[in-house]
Amino acid sequence: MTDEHGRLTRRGFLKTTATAAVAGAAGFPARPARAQKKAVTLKVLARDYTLRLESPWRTAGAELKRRHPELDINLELEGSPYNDQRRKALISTQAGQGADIIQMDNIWLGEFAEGGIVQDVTARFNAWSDKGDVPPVFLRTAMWKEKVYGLWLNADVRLLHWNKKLFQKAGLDPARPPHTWDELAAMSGKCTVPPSQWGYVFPGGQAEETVDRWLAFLYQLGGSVLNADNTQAVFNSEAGVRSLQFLADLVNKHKVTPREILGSNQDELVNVLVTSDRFAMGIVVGTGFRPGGTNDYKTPEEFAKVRGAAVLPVAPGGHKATVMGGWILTIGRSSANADLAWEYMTIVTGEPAARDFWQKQQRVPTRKAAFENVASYTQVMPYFDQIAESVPFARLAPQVPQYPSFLPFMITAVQRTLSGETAPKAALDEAATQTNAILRR
Amino acid sequence: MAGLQVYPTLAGIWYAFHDIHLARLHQTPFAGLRNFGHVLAGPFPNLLRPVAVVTAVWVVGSVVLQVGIGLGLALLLQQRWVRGRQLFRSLYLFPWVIAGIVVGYSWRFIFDPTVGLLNALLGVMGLAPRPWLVSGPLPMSALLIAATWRNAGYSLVLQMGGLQSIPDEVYEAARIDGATGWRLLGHVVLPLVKPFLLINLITTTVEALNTFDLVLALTRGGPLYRTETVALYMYHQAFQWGFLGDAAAVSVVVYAVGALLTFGYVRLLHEREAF
Repeated sequence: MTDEHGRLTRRGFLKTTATAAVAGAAGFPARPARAQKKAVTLKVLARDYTLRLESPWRTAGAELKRRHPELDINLELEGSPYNDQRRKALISTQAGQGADIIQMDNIWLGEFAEGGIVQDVTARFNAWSDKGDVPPVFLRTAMWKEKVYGLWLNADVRLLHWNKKLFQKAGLDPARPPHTWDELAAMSGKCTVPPSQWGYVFPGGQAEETVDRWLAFLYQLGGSVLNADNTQAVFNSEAGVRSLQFLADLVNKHKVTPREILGSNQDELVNVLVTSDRFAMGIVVGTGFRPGGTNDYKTPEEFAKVRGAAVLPVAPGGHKATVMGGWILTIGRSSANADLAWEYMTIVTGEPAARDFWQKQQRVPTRKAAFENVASYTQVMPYFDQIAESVPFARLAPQVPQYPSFLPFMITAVQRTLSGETAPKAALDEAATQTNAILRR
Repeated sequence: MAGLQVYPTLAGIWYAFHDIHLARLHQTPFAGLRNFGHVLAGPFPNLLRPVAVVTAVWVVGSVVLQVGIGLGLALLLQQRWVRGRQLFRSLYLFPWVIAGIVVGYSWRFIFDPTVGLLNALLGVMGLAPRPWLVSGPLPMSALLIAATWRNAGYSLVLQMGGLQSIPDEVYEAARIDGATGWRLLGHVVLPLVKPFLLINLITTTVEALNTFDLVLALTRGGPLYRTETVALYMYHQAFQWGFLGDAAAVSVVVYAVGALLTFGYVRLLHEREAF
């Protein structure tokens, strides 16, 4: 192919070009070493907020790639806002184009498990060497009908947030929050100067959080939403009536909560609660501290100087309880790479990969390793001790498939009572009848 | 055409007679008229209590305000003394090109009862805050104000087109015959812009029946479903509560009502024309 001077002859040039063209058309790789790597794509349907940092997805992705040098792993991370997540997960999975990993709100567990949207991972969980790092509460609540369906990524608990400056102004001890319902009502009264300043606030709009905040008080009195086998509504029990009456009294009798909460949404109320002197106390998801968010507190110390967060005040004759929410990672039923997806999930939800995400976004960790290190978390997450104390007695909203369908009846019952239109018993009885009809459907 | 129009319509009708849930899309047992039973007489909220009444108030209010204000502004801009007609027309049309969801959230910042601009302004003026979005007729009024702000410009442009289609000679002849003011409007102008009015009435009615984004952003149908319009109810049925079959049954009812209303408008205006 070359002449006596080593130069390419015309025949040699043509032969080389033709060989290269044939090789290219046949898809021969330029570098043989890469050809040995099997290309795998893992599709993840996550919530948008979990993608803002390197942690946990990308950090865990780097670890997964390190563990599998034989694979060419491509991570497709798609983030969605809350309202789109369930619809996207349900429709894309049933269309056979679902993600390998689906981030699922804990209240969708029954719906996704019963509908076969997500895979049973019981065998994988039992065989997993780190399963002991999952706190019991986060294992129990990832199970549906005795089977494990995923691993919690992050949680959140409801705490009482208070404004120390307003406490001081009202002659209250700024370091001491109310411990009982009676104290809550009395201290709220001292802080109320209508219409510009109110003692206590909670969301009362036409949305899930309205029910969520009431459930914390229902649980304190030993009440539940459904009976043990999830076949009947029991939220209209005495515990339900008493707890709802208490919330209604804060609005209508003690007049420490403005009735305007019926038209306000959670984000707006919490933002005002945390950043202004409009409300002295309120029930919030977490503590209210959001570094880099809309509030002005740059450091945990700065926040803790003027704001407090504590375990919710307890009902008379009741016990400590709060509501927890959060997200579970699951394997979609159409995943062709379930083994790798599971391994990725175990890394994503682990402390090394998720720590930064939990701490910078003030999310409640879901591994024992984090709770064994409360002091170090408290340095970046103010009142983390209160969070850690609340987690063991925190309960979830029902995880039954019908919850999204009967939730509107419960919202209506709470709103009717708060507006003073109907007595709690009548409102809850009507909602329970409607809920039972949905459960039978 | 068949793909875009006929298939979705037929599929919607088919869904309405089958029990389809968002989490079980492949299980579609025949439901007969059960879905219609659920949405017409099922638990609160249903089509009859309170969605139909809320929707009627919303549609009538939207049509009266948007068409009325659009026509009024068009008549005003037709006056010879008005300068900068094009500029006004563009300004009024501007909100119409903004997405409904953006308009909804923008007005939410104004009307929010706890943190809204309006109550803050009332406070500055020494007046008590009002329970916007909370009780009485205020939530629906807030919705109608936002919708009118967004859509009146469309009516204005349409009605200006109608008014400009009337030759100057007609006005001259009417004036010679002594018709001025309300008589000119009632006996000459309105009969001549009737086709434009008809289109405006039909499009505004259909738009109001279909409005979903603005209501979702501003009130989410609350409180107590007092602003739950039929389009939002369909969304809630399908994507919040998961009952796709029930949502399809609602869409069939809305389709029928929309067709009847359109037919009614055409009949009404044609009958009047016959006189």
